[in-house]
Amino acid sequence: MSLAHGKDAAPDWGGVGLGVGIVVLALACLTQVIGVQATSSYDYIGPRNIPMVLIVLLGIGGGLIALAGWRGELREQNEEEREINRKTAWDSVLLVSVGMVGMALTIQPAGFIPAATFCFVLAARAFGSRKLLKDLVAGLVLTIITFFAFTKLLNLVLPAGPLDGII
Amino acid sequence: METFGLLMDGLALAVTWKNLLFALIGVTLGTAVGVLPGIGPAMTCALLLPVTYQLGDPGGSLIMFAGIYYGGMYGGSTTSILLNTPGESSSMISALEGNKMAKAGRGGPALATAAIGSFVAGTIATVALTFVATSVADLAVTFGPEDYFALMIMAFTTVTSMLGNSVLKGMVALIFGWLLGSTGIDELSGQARITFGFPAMQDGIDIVIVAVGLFAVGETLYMAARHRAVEETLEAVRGSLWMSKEDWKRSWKPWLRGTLFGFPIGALPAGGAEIPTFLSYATEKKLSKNPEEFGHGAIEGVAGPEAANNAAAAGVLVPLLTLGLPTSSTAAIILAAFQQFGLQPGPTLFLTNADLVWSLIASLYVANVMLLVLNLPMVGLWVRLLSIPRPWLYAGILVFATIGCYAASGSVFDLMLLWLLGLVGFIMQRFDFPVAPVIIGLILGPLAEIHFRRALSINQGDVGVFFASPLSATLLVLSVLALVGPIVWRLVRYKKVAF
Repeated sequence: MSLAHGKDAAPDWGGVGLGVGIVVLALACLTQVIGVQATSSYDYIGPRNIPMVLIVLLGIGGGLIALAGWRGELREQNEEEREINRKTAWDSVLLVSVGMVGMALTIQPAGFIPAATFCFVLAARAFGSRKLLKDLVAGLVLTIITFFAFTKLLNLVLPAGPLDGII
Repeated sequence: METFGLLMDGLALAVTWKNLLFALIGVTLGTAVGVLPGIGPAMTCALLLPVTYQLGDPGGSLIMFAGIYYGGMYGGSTTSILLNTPGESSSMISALEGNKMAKAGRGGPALATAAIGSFVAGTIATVALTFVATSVADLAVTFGPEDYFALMIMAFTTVTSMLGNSVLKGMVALIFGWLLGSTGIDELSGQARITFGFPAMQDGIDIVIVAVGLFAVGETLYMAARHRAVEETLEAVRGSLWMSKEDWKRSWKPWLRGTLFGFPIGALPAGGAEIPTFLSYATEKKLSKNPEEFGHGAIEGVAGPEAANNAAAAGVLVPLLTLGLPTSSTAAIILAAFQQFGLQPGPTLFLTNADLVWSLIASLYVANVMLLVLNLPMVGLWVRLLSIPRPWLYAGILVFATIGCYAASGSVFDLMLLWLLGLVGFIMQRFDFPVAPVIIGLILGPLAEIHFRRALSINQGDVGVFFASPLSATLLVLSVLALVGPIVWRLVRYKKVAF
């Protein structure tokens, strides 16, 4: 990687966005640290000081990343990788996310088996599977086996949901 | 010979039927998970950590964990060779060279030289670990907080400047991890920091959630995002599985040289398995009579780096067990495994829990032997795991990752956090950020802060304490060099080109 690289490269807006996002994260952390009380007098460095230093460094780092993105120097990509990035399946990212959040929200009321099967089916769909029924069966088999392996063999607790007391 | 006696006691503990069974389950699970595409040893350990939670006795769990660690490494190299999807950067080289061999119909010998090389390197390195660890532990008892702080700073700078291709990205990743680690109640003052008002954040963030989120969920999102654009091709193992006489002749020296690179570099508090694999590859290429074969499937290029990788994996346990200093993501997760039983690795562990440490080291030998016996004959079975349809494979990994985290804490908040960290891991992969510094920062950052504050408290706030101890002063100077050196070097080289 030479310093001359990327001088005339187009701005990488994703990279700029990432840099700005990091700065925002640093600012958000700042609000969480600024109110922390410095404690007793014989603590030369309190609970606030080092996080403050980290936050400032993170902010600077975010700025530098945004700059590198703007100068098109953040990622070294060949044509093949650019092509792969252009074909990014954002719908798949969304599907996996819905699956995970859905599982998080339903695991306690509905129980582990339905919640995890829901996540499994959506994730399989995100990878291009279009056989809903087959995915459903595969998901059920997997989650039922793991449920019993975890709860009976490993003594870990997983919510059974409405089936509590039956299984 | 006191060490030898202790090791024999450890071995006696490790070869009880119960512990042998734990080791067997460990290596089998480790290999099975490690073989899955894109899953490296660190992720294998993080995914399987919850499985070891409830075994009851710490000894058995740690023995199983040692098996998972080594099994994950073996499984990972199988996938690297047959599928060219290295789970982490230290297996990139063997993926490069081994996959070329597999394409040329020499997948069998490639797998064999990787497996036997790993065995040779693992065995030598574990013996070295046995002897180095005790002397380092004896030395480490005398370290003050300022020395620990300097050691950690040293680990930070080497991890960020040597992993990945950009110091900036490494630093940002490290600081992000350190901030994650700083959340929750501050140990010295009892004050809550960076909790964003969530009571669940007061205990800090569990390393398993971060590791599984960044590695497993991040990888799943990453693969999902590019599943339409990328085709994976699995190379079938054709022809003989065994190495010919010629293969043996070309392999045994690279194994030994790889071990020589791997163990010492892994054992340094700078650590990491990436550098020794690259060094080994470059050396083998230089020494080879036919360097033109490199890049097209030279067996030395698999034998050397694989041995270096495995030797480094044992080397990394030296700073981990004796100083409590993890220098790779996998080591950080092993540290978490110790902590779940209330054990803190460090020089005192050798005194307070000697039998445990030695049975762990002994079970590394046992795991190594088991893997050699199990792996080659069973390679056909492992390969069949790779033919699971991709949608089910990744959906299964995702479900397993989430329940692992949930079962440990029973917290919905943790599941949401897992998803958010998955998104972070996805972004990091897309922009080519190294993930290891996040894990190292998360674990070592807060420790470094505590040692820093303690050193200052003991010395009435005098910063000079960090330069009063010769060890601490040397390490701090080295750290600055490690950080500034590459930048200066690049500038000098740039000037030469410019003028």
